[in-house]
Parts: sequence; C-alpha cells; structure tokens
Amino acid sequence: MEYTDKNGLAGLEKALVARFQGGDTAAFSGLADLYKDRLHQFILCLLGPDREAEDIAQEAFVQIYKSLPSFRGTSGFGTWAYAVTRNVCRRRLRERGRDAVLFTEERETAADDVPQSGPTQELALESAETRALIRAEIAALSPVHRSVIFLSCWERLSYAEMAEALEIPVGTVRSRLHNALAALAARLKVLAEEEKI
Amino acid sequence: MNCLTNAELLDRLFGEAAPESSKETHLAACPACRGRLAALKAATAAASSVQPTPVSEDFTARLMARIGEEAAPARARLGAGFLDRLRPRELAFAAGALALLTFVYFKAGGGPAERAQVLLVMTDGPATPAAIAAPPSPSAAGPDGVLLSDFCVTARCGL
Ligand SMILES: [Zn+2]
Repeated sequence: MEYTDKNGLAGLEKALVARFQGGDTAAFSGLADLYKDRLHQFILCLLGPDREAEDIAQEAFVQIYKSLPSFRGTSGFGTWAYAVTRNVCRRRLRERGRDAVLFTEERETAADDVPQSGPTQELALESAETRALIRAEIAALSPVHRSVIFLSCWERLSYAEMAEALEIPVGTVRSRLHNALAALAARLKVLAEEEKI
Repeated sequence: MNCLTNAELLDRLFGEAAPESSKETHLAACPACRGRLAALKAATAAASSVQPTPVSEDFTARLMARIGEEAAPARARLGAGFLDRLRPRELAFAAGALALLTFVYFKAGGGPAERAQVLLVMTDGPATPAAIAAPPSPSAAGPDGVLLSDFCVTARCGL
C-alpha cells in the first residue's frame, strides 16, 4: 500500500490537530491511528529490531500529546512528530547507557565511494517473497540510511521536511539519501544476480 | 562529457529541481548517467513497496489509557491550576517544603492533643493552611512523627 492520498490525509491530520488544540483531547486518538505504524517503523529504522519499539512508540505519543498544545504548525505535524520521536529514541538509548552515535554517520561517505549500479531487470515488487527480501536488505543498512530511506520513499517527505525531522542541513539530507539509495541498489543488484528477486 | 552529479540525479528523481534542458540532453546521450539514475529509481521503488511494521491492534486504546492515567487523575487530585504552574523540579521542591512543614507542625507540638492545629490544604491553587477540628491519628504518622499527606506520598514517587 502506498500513500496515494497524501493530501487527503494531510487535511484530516490538520483538522485533528486543530480539534485537539481547541480542547477536544479525544481527537488525539485519531492522530495516533494515523501515525502509530509510521512512528513505530521510524523507531525500528533508528534502533533496529527492538522488543521495546512499541513501548517507545507509546512514550513518543505521550510526549507528542504533552507538547501538542504548544505546536505552532510552522512545519507539518508529521515532520514535528518524527523529530519528537527521534529525541525520545535518543533519550531511551542514553538511559540504556548506549551512546546515541547511531544518529550520526561518523563520516558522511564521499559520494564517489558509493557503487553506482543497481538491478538491471524490473523487480517483482508485488511478490510477498520479494518484499520480504527487500525488507531484510533495508534492515541491513545503517540506522542513518534506513531513516532517510523511510522518510523519503515511504513518507514522501521533501528534503526540507527531512532536514527538520532529522535536525540536519538539507545538503546532508541529499548526500545521505543518495548514499542510502545507492547502497540499497547495490544490495538489490546482488540479489538480482543471484536470481533471488 | 559533463555527467550529472549525484545530487543532480537525486533532485531529478524526487522532482526537487526543475529539469534543465542541457542535463536532459546529456542523460539521453549518456548510458552511464542513465544507469546511475535507473539504480536510484529501482532502490526507491523497492523501498516504497515495503510497508511499515504494524503495531498491536490495541495500541491506540492502551495509549489513550496511559495518557488518561498520566494526566487525568493527577490533575483531578492535585488541582490542575496548581499543577500546571509547577515544573517537575518545582513540584519536588514544593513537596519537600510541605513535608518539612508537616514535620515541624507535628514535631514542635507537645502532647498528641496539641499536635496538629493546622493542616496544609491542597486546593486548585497554592497550598493554604486551614484549621482542623480534630488532630490526625498519631498512627498515621511515620516513626519520626512525619505525617505524609496523599500529596507528599505522590510527590515522593516522583510524579
Ligand atoms: Zn553522464
């Protein structure tokens, strides 16, 4: 399923935010329904497989609930919610005594280091088996690459929105996204050559 | 041959920049650039086909219950107006001050009869002292004579 009706969802989302800010706190459950899987997936991108991912998602929503009254709407709700979620993940890592180094690439890979080719044939994306293999290849990427791929390919955020959600400059968004897609393309090429997809 | 930069390829793929005719001409003539663009396109299509991992079905119900627990009872018990004005650190300080005052009232008094003449009452506003008719039972106080009100107990838990 792709978001074919992003504009429709954006309208609903705006209306829910306005209702909540107008005092109808029950409207928050609508926002949670719209975003629960997406924030959960973003957490999995940042942390990898994590048995507390759902609990962290709950914590992120509680934080969003508390902060939403002061949300000014200068950015989209989603962009802002991703930034809040990212900070909740960072805090959870610190509580676990783990360095939040996952959130930055130690060295932004120079663009020329990245292989520049991908699978030569069309992928059978409607096949569940192919999708499972693709999912595994994405999971094998770094947290930084998984996050930009999710926000861009699934969430369809613009460079500027991604920059805001990830708190990085637009130029960094571009280089990360290029490198992430090139890394995924190289992995898919191997799978295709092995005739797995 | 001026091949497209990675950023230019990406901008073209995501429609973040208006197409330039010189770049389009180059793309049409350069198999290397077309190959790079096709690789990025294939990766984007593949990534777009993978759905987010869904949460449990009762996620929203549990979330709303959790929000209700964390927000509503505390507000009802303590008074929203007072609570809203305090940050966690101030709340802890207020709790400490209240515990100390309670301690002083009970410790300073002589016999059980004179022990508590005044109790701090929490309302929808700052704590205010109020006279009470009967002193609280001494058994309600801890071993050091400190009687913790519901508020103190709650605040001690780090609410
Ligand atoms: Zn070229």
